[in-house]
Amino acid sequence: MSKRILVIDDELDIREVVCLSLEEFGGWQTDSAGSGLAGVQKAIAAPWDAILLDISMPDMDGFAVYSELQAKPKTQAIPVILLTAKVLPSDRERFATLGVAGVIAKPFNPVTVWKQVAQLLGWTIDPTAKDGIL
Amino acid sequence: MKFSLRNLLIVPFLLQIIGITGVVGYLSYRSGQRAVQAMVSQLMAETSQRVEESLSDYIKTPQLITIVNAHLVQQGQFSSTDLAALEGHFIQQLKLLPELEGLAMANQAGAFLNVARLDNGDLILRRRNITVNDGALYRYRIDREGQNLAVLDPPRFDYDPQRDPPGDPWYSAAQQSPAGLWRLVVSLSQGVDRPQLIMVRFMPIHSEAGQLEGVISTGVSLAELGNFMQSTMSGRRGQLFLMEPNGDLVATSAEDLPFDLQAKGDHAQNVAVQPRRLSVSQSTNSLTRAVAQTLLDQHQALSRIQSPAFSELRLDGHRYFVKATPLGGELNWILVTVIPNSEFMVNIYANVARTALLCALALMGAIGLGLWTAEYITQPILSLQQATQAFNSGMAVVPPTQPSRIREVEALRQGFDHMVGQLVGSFQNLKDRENTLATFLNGVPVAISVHDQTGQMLFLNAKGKELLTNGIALASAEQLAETYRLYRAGSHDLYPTAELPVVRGLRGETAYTDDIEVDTGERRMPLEVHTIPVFNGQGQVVYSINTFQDITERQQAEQLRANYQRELEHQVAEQTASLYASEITKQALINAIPDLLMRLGRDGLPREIYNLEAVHWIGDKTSLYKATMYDNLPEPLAQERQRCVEQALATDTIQRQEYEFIDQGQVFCEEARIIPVTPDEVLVVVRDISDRHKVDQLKDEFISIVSHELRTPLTAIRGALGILESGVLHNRPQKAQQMLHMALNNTERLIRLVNDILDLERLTSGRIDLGLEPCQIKDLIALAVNGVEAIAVEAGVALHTVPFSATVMAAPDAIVQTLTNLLGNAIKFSEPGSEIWLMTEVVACPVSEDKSALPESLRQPLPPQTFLQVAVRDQGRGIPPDRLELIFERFQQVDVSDSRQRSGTGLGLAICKQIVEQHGGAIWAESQLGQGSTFYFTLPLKTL
Repeated sequence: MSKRILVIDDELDIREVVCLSLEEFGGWQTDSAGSGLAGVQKAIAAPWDAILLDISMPDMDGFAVYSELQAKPKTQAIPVILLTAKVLPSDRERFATLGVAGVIAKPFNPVTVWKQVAQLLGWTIDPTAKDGIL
Repeated sequence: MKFSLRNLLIVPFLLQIIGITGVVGYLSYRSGQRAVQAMVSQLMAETSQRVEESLSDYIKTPQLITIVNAHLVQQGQFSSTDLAALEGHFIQQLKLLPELEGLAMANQAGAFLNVARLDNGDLILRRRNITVNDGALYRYRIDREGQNLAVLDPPRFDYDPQRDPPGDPWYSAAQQSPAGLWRLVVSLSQGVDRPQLIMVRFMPIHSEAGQLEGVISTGVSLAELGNFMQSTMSGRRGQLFLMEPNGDLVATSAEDLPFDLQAKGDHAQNVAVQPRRLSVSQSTNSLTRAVAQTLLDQHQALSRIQSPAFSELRLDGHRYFVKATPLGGELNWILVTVIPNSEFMVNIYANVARTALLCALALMGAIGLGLWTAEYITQPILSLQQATQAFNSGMAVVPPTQPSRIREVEALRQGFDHMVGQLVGSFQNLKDRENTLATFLNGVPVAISVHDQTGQMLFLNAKGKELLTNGIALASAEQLAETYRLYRAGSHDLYPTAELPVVRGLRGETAYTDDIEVDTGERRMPLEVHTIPVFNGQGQVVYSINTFQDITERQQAEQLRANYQRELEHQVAEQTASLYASEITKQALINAIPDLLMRLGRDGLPREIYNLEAVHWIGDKTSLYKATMYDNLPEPLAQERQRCVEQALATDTIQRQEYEFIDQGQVFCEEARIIPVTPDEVLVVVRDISDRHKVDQLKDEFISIVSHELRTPLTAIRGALGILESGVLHNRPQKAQQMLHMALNNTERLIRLVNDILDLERLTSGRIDLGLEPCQIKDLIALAVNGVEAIAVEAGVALHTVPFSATVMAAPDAIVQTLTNLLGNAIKFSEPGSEIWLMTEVVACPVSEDKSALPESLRQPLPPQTFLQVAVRDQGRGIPPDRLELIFERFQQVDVSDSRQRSGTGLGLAICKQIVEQHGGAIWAESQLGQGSTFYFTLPLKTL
C-alpha cells in the first residue's frame, strides 16, 4: 500500500522537486501546500502517513504549523519531517526540542531523499521500488 | 651646741662629785674652823684658868709663908729682936719651897735678915745685926745646907731697912697694911750690880700688945714667875705674860726679863722700882710688842680691859689667838695668853689635809669610776657610732659592735646590729640592683645623665662618658654649658642655661631638643637630648634625667635623605604630572571603556567601582560598597560568579562568564571577566553584550536568511538536475524541460542574490571608493529609465520623468543602480495601467510632509546646504507604516513571498540606502496603503 505524503513549502519549485522525487523514486502518493495555512487545512482534510514541512514560510511558518498539527487530535499522530534550509546549529537546537520525526536539510539529493524519509520514519524499503536500491 | 656622750656623762658627773666633795670639804673646813674656834676658846679658857690657878697657887705660897712666919714670930717661936734664929728657919723654908725667891725680916730695931736664892741653888744671906756689930749690912754666900758662910761684899753701912728704898720704904708701907701687902721691890740680894725686881709679900708683926715688932716678907722672883709661866705652857708654843693695867710688864713666859737689870751707881736710883719697870710696848720680844699693840688698837687703853677679851693677830706669817684676862683682886694684873694658830691648826690642818686627801682620793676614785662607767656605757655606743660612721661613709665592712652588759644598751646594740644587718642586706640588694641598673644603663647605647636640683651631675653612664669627656665634673646648672662645652648648633654661642634641657627638666618640663652641639676637642658633635623631670612625693623636682645621643650620622642621613627627598620630590612631581596625565588618560580610558570595572576582594565586597552605568545593575545603587557583588546577581549567576572569582584567585588565571538574565521582562546579556590582581583581589570587568548579542543574533539571522536564500534556489537546482540526471524523465521530455527551466531560473536568482550580497557587503564595509565625480543628474536618470523601460512596458506601466538639470557629486553607476532599483520596485509593485513618476528638485534641506517620517539623522539641523531631491512615486499597494523604515534593512521585504513572486532578493533597498548615505544623502519612503508609495533620496549639489 502506497504511503501518502503531504509536502508543505512556500517555494513552488521545491514543492515540485520534492513531490516528483518521492513519487518517482519512493513510489509514494504526494500532495503539496504552498502556505502553512493551506498545509494545515490539507492535513486535516485527508489521512497522511507523513508530512514534510518547510520552516521559513511567510504568514505562518513551520513552527506554527507544527504546533497547530500537534494541537489537533486528527493530525496529532502524523509524523512530521522538517525539510528546511535552516541548518545552522542554533536552528538544529531548536528543532531538537520540537519532537519531530526528523530533519532533512536543503538542498537534498532528490534521488535518495525518499530513503531518508523512510529511514527517519522506520519504514521498510519496498524492493519493488523503481530505483531498486535499498 | 653638741656634746660627746662621753663628756656628757663625765663632765656632769665630775662636776657633781667635785661639787659634793667641795661642799663636803668646805663644810668640813667650816666645822673645823668652828671646832678650832671652840677649841681655841676652850684652850684659852683652860690655859688662862690653869695659869690663873697656878698663879694663884704660886702667889698663895708667899702669902701663906709670910703669914706662917709672922705667926711664928708672934707666937714667940722666933724672937723678933734676934733675927739670927730665923736664919735656919728661912734656909729650911727655901730648901722646901723652891718657888720662893727669898725670905726677909726687919724689926723695929732696924735689924734685917734676908735669905735669898742664887741661880745655881746656893743661898745668899744678908744680915744687919744691930746688936752685934755696928749695924752694917753683910752679905754672905752659904751652901744649901746653910753652912760655909762666906762674905761676898764689904758691909754696907748706909743700909737702913726701914728707909729702904728711899722715898717709899717698904717697911712703913707694910706697917700700914696689917693683912699684908704685895709690893714690887728692887732686891740687891744678888749683888749691887745685879739688882733684881721681885715681888714681895710684906706683913707687919705686932706684939700681943699691938706693938709693931717688925715686918716679915716672902719674895718671889718675877723671873721665876716668868719661868713658872713658861712651865705652865707645858711645851706649848705660845706666850703668857702679866702686865699692869698701865702696861708695865710683870712677868713673861718669854725669854726676856720683865724689868731693867742695869745697875746704877746711886743706890736710890739703883733700888728705885719704877724706873726699872718695862712697858709691854718696849718688850724685846716682838710677839709681846705686837700683842700689846693689838690690845691697844683694840681697847685704846689697857686699863679698859675689864673682862676677858679675845683677839687675833698675824705676825711673821703666823696667826695668834690672844686672850687678855684682868685678874682683879689685890694685884689687879692683866694676864695675856697668846697661842699661835699653828698650835691648834696642826691637827686641823692635818685634818684638812686628810680631808682634802680623802676628797682628792674620793674625787679621783669617783672620776675613775665615772670614766670607767662612761667608758663602759659609751664604748658600745661609740662602737655603734663608729659602725654608723663606717656605714655612712659607705665602707663595705661595718666594724663589729661591742657587746655591753647594760641591758638597754645591749638591746640597742642588738637592735642596731639587726638593723645594720638588714640595712646591709638591703644596701647589698640595692647595690646589686644599682649595679644591675648601672650595668644596664652602661649597656644602653644612649648616653644617660642624672642631675640634682642644682644641676650637678650625679650619674653618667658609659656612653655618656664617651660623649662628655669631662665625666662627672663639679658644675652647677649655670656652669654646665661651659664645663661640658655645649654650644647652640651652628654657632659659637654657649648654650643658654635657661634653655638647657637639664634646666628645663629641673623646672618640671619634659624637654626635647636637637640643636645642641658638644665640643669634643676634635669636632663639634650634634646631640639630640631628651629630658624628663623626676618628682618626689611633694611634687617637687628632685632629679632631671637626660638621655642624649650623637646624631651626626642621623643628621648626615637626614641630609642625605633630604637630598634624596628633594630628588624624589622632583621625580615625584614629574611623575605626578605624568601620573596625572596618565590618570587623566586612565580616567579617559575608563570612561571610554564601555564596561563596568570593579575591584573586588575575596570576600566579594567591592573596593572600587567604575562605569556602573555600563551595565544593567539590578542591585541597590545607594549601598554599592556594603553589599557583596553576589547579592546583586540572580542566584545561579551569583554562584557561578563566586566560583569564577575563587578559581581566578586559586589559579591566577583570567576567568570568563557569559550569561543572560531577565529583568522586568527584558533580556540582558553580559560578559564578565575575572582578572586576578593580588592574592586577595580581583578585577571584575563586566560588559553589557546585549547589543553584541543582538548583532550576533542579527548576524546569525542574516546568515540564516542568506543561507536560506541561497539554499532555496540551490535546492531547486539540485533537485531539478538530480531528477534529470537520474533519467526518470527520459520518457517525459516536457517535464524534463520544466526541470531544466527551473534549474536555470533558480540559477539566475542565485546570481542576482550573490551579486546583491556582494554589493551590499562592499558598500557596508566601506572598502570601496565610490569615486565621486560631478555628474549631470538628467544623464543618470536617462540611463536608469532606459534600463527599466522594457520591463515597464512589459508590466504595462507608464513611466513619467520630469527633465531637470543639476550637477551632483556622485558615483554615476551607483546612482544609476539606485534609480534602477527604485524604478524596478515601483514597476514590480504596480498594477498594469498604473503610472510611475520620477521627479527631481533642489531643496535647502530635505523636506518631508511628515517630519516624523524623516530618518533620525535628518531631524537634526544641518548646515545650510542645498540638496538635489529625487522622488519615485507609484500607485501600488502601498507599504504598512510599521515597515516604512524596515524595508531598507536586508531581506526585509514587505512580504517574504515577494522575493519569489517579484524576483527580488530582499537586498535592493538596503543597497540603495548604503549608496545614498555614502553620497552624504538620505533615503526614506512615504506611503499610503492601497494608494501608492513615494521613495525619496537626496544628493548634495556640487557647490561651485
